[in-house]
Amino acid sequence: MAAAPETQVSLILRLADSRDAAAWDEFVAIYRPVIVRLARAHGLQQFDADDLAQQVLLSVARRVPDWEADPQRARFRTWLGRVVRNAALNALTRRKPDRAAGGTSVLILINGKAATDCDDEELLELEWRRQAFRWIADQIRDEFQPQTWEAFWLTAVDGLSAAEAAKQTGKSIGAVYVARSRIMARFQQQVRTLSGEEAAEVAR
Amino acid sequence: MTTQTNRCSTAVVSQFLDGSLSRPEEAAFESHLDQCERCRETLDQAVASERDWNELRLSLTTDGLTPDSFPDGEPQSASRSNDLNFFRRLLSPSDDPRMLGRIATYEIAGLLGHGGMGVVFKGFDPAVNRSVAIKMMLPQFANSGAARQRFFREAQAAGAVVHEHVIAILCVSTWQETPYLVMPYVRGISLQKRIDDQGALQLRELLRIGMQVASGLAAAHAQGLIHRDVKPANILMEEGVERVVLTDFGLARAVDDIRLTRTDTLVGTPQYMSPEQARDEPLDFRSDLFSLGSVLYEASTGRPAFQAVTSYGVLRKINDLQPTPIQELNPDIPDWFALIIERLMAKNPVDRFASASQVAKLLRQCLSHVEQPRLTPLPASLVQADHSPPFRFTRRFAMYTALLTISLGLAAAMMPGGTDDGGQAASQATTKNKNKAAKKYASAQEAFQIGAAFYNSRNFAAAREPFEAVIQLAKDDDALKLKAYEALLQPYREIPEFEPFQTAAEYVIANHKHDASRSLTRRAYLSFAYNRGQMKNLVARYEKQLKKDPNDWMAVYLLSEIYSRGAGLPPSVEHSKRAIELLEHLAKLDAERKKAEGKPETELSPAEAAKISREKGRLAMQYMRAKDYSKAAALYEEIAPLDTTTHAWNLKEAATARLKLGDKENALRLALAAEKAPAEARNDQLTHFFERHMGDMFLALGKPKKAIPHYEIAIRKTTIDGYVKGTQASLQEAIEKAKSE
Repeated sequence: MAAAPETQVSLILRLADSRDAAAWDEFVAIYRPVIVRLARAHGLQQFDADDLAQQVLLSVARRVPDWEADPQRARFRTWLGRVVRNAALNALTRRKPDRAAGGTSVLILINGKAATDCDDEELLELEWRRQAFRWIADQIRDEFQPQTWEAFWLTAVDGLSAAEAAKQTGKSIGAVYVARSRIMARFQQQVRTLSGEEAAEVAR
Repeated sequence: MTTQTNRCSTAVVSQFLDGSLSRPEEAAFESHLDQCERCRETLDQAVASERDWNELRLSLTTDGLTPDSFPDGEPQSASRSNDLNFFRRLLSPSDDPRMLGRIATYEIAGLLGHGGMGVVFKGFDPAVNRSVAIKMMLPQFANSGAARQRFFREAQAAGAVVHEHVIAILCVSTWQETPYLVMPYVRGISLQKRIDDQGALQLRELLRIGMQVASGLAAAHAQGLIHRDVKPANILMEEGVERVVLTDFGLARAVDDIRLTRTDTLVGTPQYMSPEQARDEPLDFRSDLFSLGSVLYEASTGRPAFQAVTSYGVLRKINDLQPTPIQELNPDIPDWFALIIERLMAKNPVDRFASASQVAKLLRQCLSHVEQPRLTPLPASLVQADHSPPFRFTRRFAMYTALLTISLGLAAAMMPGGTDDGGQAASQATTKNKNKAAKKYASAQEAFQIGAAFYNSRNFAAAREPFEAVIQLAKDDDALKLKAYEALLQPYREIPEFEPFQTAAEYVIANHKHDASRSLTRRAYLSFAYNRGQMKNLVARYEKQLKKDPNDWMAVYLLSEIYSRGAGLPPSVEHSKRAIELLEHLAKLDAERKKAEGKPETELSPAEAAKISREKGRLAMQYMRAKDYSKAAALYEEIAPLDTTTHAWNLKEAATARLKLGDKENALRLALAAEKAPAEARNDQLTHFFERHMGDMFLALGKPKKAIPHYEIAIRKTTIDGYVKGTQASLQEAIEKAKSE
């Protein structure tokens, strides 16, 4: 049976000189479901998709000690992103195509079009972004007043009109807009950080 | 550039997003938004593209939460008409006009619900004249051999459990190559609906439901079957009789089926998962006991034990946190019942009860006690408070354990999540006993290995003590000490005190040789401090250190970040200046450090340079708002070439400032340079602002011909009618002036 994700954490803890354990946790939390979903879109059954994600993450964990030797000194996060994307796409293309049970339809659901090989990178990007949004939501929620968060959630996620959200939260419409754009801006900033588009240092 | 927040202004939106509006300006902007739909649209577009808004909504709504497989009450044809039409295609036509269709010999009366892989219909069995529930696999899954096998295996497994509190499987078959199974139709509501409608349940009912579910689980476990998805929605309360039935063995797996002992990641809601399930580890029947505990918690308090915005957030809470003490939410719950739930919900399976049948028996005794308190005493095990496992979320019990811990001189590190009193007491005890604890280990290495083992099993609380021992024992093994401090960040995050985390974070930042690790730790430290409301104290602490020693590297390293990110501080000229001062000082200290270590002196790293230029941009903006145009112009021009993404924008700002000073010559020079500078890679709405400002500038400088192309691009780049109109008016003006030239 494949090793549990904790094994990877221990690999990180032991082999990689305790480096960036937090970045690794965050990395696994975001990429694992992304790889699983990508594999599902390739027609793999759930448990096979889990296995594949496990293998890919394990192979990345094993490569972590290489990072130090990398003269380019890419940032850990950027480097991990590159390695895991290659590993996932390789693992999927090397596989014999399973019968695409549900796979194609899942992809159509996600992407609005049928699956072809060249869509993989796009799909990976899309799934990564969605997973990143979920993860970020969890990370930044505590930074905001509950009513601010609620105003954002009601309009941006639940799709309520600003007027309705204003009524429910007791804020003015203007305040609802301020709340939702401020939180969205924070999301955007975090996505840039996670994707390595911006320097990693974000103080809050 | 004056800011008028009470009417539409292209500049205000971008200033708001940059965080450079003052409080009153922001309030004015907010009330302007109240009135102005146009500016709301602008704001939405400026902050994120429509695609990103959509992505955000999709990712946060389709959060792996599938609809319940057993929704409540009668089939709802109206509100679910879309679903109904979709699933109707799975049926054959019926002869009975009142029916939706037919599966084999069953007449289908309506849709009960659908989940990730299947759909549940309400049906009627004419042969025996009774209602049934028919669960059918979705056709797209039916093509897969493995999925079919699984469906049948689940049906067989569930069918093998014959018990009054487990739903019966009447028949398993296929219809038009799609597998389905038939169960009795239970008239009534689910426990979920009951809780949603009426909130917390009475103690008697809690005991009855808990007992019945536990005995149903015992029967399943006796067959080697783990349910894996015990949740309020899967517990049906029959109408008119005091009986609950456990349904939906959709995720159930036989214990001995090795291939299938792993979870389907996030099928259904994770709210009731056990910690081991959340970690995707192999499970045994005790996982169901945890879920039963979560169900009873919710039924006792009216709210789920673990709530978060995302599935991932829920999983993390299940794994890391203790829920709010039950009696804080419902003081009517007696201590002994809270203790039973806590024991069911112990993070470590060995701390839970030994079996579901033991739980059923215990709850039965409790029920007798509640019904006839004089005749039946409480079970003895609940009266004596001599439990060995560390219960952590009964208030009184936590205090009791804390006292006990101190008096026995035990390592109190085992209970970090207690109440404030308990936590403080515990930490005092820890300090006193640190040396004693350290003696438990033969060497720092051994303590580290034990700590790592706890850490790896994600039992961070238990990892604390051995890692603290490492620090005591490591003496001059600095590398090991560093590793221990790094590992301690996690357990320290979960305790009420702020200082231990601070100590560990400072040690790591001061001693780690990798830039990346230092900056990650700094980020974690500052956001931890922010969340704990410690930002002001941090500023005071490091400013004080700088007074003592202006070259204190760590103080500079931390303060520069705090000031430049404005964590909790209002934007102002002073803060921006201080940030720049500190960033430059840091760069100097780093260079000296490298020199001292014999490394070649390098230029500023691109990240550092970008940070300084960004901060200077912020300062320039402050000068602009303070109408100190000459300083603003000089600074904007200075920083423009440093950052390609804002190059053109900063030159344009410099030109604006020059124009304000009446220095047309330099304004024109800068505007022409801005035209040639690399285009800013921002979204269309901001490009619109940029081009429009450029047009305005050339028009003001008496160069209408130069203004025309900018206005034209600006018009193309916005979709907002008001902006199009305004820019068209300016364009017209430019064209006319160009003609008369």
